[in-house]
Amino acid sequence: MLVKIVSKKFDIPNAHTIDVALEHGAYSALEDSLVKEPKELRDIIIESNLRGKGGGGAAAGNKWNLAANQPTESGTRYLIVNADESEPGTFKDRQILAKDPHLLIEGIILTCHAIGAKSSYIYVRGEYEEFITILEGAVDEAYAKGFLGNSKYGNIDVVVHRGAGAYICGEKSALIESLEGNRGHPRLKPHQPESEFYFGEPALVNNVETIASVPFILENGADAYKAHGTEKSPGTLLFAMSGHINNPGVYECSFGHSMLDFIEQTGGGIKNGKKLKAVIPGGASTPIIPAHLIKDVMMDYESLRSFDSALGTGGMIIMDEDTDMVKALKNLLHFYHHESCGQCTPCREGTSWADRVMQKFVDKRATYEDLEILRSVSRTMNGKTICVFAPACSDVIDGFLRHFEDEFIACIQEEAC
Amino acid sequence: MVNISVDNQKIEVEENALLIKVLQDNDVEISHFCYHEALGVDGNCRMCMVEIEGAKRPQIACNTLCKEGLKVHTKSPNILKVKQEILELELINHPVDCPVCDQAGECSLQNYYMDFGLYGSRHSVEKTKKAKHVDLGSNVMLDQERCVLCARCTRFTQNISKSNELFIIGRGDQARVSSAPNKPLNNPYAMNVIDLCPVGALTSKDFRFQQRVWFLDSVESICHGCSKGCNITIDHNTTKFDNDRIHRYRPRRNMAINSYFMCDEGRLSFHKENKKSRHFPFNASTLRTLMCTDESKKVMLANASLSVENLSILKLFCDKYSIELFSLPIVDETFGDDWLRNSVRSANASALEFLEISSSYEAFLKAAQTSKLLININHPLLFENIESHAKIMHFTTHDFEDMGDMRNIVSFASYSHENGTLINSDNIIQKFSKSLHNIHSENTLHHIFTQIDNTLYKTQETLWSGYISKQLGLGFSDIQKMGTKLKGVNNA
Ligand SMILES: Cc1cc2nc3c(=O)[nH]c(=O)nc-3n(C[C@H](O)[C@H](O)[C@H](O)COP(=O)(O)O)c2cc1C
Ligand code: SF4
Ligand code: SF4
Ligand code: SF4
Ligand code: FES
Repeated sequence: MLVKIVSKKFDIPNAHTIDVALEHGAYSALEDSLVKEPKELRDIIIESNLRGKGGGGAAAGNKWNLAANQPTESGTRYLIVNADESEPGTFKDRQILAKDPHLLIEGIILTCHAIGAKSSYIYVRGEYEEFITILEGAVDEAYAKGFLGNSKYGNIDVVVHRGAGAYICGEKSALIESLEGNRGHPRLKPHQPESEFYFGEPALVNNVETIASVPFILENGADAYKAHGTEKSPGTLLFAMSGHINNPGVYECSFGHSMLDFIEQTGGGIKNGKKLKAVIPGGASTPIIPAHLIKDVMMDYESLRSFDSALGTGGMIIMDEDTDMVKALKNLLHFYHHESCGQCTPCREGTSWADRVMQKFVDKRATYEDLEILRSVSRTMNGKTICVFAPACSDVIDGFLRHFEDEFIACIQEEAC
Repeated sequence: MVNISVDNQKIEVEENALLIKVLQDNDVEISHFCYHEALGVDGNCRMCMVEIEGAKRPQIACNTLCKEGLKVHTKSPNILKVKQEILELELINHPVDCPVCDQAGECSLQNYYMDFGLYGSRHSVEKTKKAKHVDLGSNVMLDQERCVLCARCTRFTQNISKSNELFIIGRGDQARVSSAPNKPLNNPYAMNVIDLCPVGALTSKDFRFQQRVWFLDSVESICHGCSKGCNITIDHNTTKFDNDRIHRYRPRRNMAINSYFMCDEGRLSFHKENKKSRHFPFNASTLRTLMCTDESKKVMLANASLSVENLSILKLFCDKYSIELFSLPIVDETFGDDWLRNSVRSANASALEFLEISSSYEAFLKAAQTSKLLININHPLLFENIESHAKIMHFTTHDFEDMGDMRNIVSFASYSHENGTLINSDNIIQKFSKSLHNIHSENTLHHIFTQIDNTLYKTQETLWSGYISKQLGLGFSDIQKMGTKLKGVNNA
């Protein structure tokens, strides 16, 4: 179940320093891969079926092709690595930044080569000060050792950019706006599939872990990657567990295993011998799944879809039998209320209204009409906004109401008596 | 061209035309806040939702391109429900202070609520509090609570005035329009944001609390502030015990001239129109004796903002009585810019060439020095510096300083009191209409001069058919609603 591809050097002390990293095989994918044609590298990625690990699970190879083939007059293209990781429950990318930043840099060099980019940015969540320091140290070392900058590895530049603390800047177009110096507002979706654009030039945005998976695939071939996981969800993911679990942490695991086994074996079961109540499977934005369904859930994109939820980032929030679902939803809605970028009406107003209505539930002041309001606000937030922040919030509300409506009604009835 | 259908009506449109524009151009009502032809697509308000056959979800019309076979529904029950729900959210943190809001009566929020809102309030939680009296500068007041965050004002300062004073700060329901500390809204076009604001969030310090808009009468006119000839709407009203007064100028869309905008100076120039001169009556026979009988040399200086009709009647009069007619356009180099404002401040300066009126300062000076009578028609040049012992006669619309011997002053109606035409800096001729109707209206210049000599063309119609159309090469009825470009003087 547990595999070590991206997390290969996580347990090696000081693997974030270049000397230790080199001893353990860092940058070994470069020699062979950089002599290949960019298209050949992209074909390997397509062949590997690598899916984006930032939450959406989009096929990485397609995106690479879009970025590589987008016409540009100046010939400039950019790679932007999304290290904004701000979603509650998700804390996997920081392991890479802190424990094996050279794997990420190696992935960046390879990806740049594959899409024809010379400059890349790593957009890191501003609060990750400690990890930024490590990452910046690693980038400096990579320059000093001739992997970055003027070198035989393609003159790639890496700039580490700190975010200013907005969750929405993890959304790829908002991230680019922020990187351009604007407010982090997501852009309108294009009319046809195309790459992202940074200052008008084609750009590729990928998650940290996606890029960190690249060296393994290019070095060992697509089949080596596909040997793990399922047909549609190949390879591995850094699954994270938090909440009422005995061994919280980040574990690399191949796709397709039983979630319950993972919780019990790797996670060591529920804390204090309590019973499991529910799991939010992939970061706060994925709909909650109640315990009685968990035993049938497999940890891959398709299985979670079939439970009206999503794999997301694999950041699992484990809840025990004592968890108050009304308070849990209030907690989440507070987050969405606070983090909506405020650009489009349904989200800006819907998140604040839903959050305030939830406060009524927590205070036992809610009525049946409030339950109806939650549902209708959720409906209005779904599918009518610029980005998927609001639909995600809507899915979260729907998930709680689908599985735990009785707790909300109990709240209302408590008020009545 | 492609065929689309809107509410089951077939329409032929350019391929990839923007759907919201197509709907607007075909008079299909489409609710919206953020889209504006001059500002482009932003897609933030989500009020322009339409149903598109084959699409899973409702789509925003402002980001939909027209393709062959597109089938759009703007009024299906589904879409009305969606729009109602979004409108409910739009209003959830709104203070609903319409009774004291200046926008009431011309507010998109109010209109949409009446069109497809009409739900009972379900609001039972506290509202987000924001600042209600923010003085942004340049006469613009902001009420952040009324703002729907359509970003029209911020996009105006970013993309149109390029002065970047306004932006949105804060996230989520804390988002609000603001300017930077000690950097107020300050550009010559700032007040346009008031017209752009679809709600009562931005109001004019100059206009607010003066009038309820439904009492105002609107007349289409042309700004006389410079030779650009921006199209405007004059909003005026007669209140009890008062004269008919202008309360504001608003820019009127004319894509060939001012698009949707006007400058602040032009916008505020109506105050002068409300301040008419004291009434100085005229006596036709005295004026006739003065100007028409003796053979001595006489010079007339006419303001180049007078209408084509007024300049023509003066021209015909002067030619007949051998009075030398000049008109000197006022030029202010500090006023012009590369957008609307033109350094030639006289609104009708381009007409002088068509009417063959001299605008030579030297020739005027020379003539004035030997003249026995100087006649000033509303020109700011008051002859003080001219060494001459001539008698001076003033025809004026406004009081001016040092009016001297008031026996020689005749007052006449300024442009808001009569109809007329102007030729702008691009030789586009445009009509403007009489807006003020006071009981004690001043006499028009045309009336005064046809009283002095009743053989002159009595009406504007005869003046046009008898004289002006020859000079300009087109008839009055040839002038289009949005103005007509004249061929050059020689081709006239
Ligand atoms: C509200 C929101 C927040 C997001 N935050 C992140 C993030 O912190 N990190 C990330 O990699 N992707 C995030 N994403 C997904 C990105 O938009 C984008 O899909 C991703 O970075 C693409 O990389 P991938 O294809 O490698 O997953 C977010 C998306 C949304 C809508
Ligand atoms: S859905 Fe929310 S976060 Fe996304 S653009 Fe709209 S307001 Fe911003
Ligand atoms: S102040 Fe008016 S124009 Fe500006 S964002 Fe708000 S509603 Fe829009
Ligand atoms: S630019 Fe000239 S015509 Fe236009 S509003 Fe200003 S003063 Fe009037
Ligand atoms: S007009 Fe289309 S979203 Fe605002």
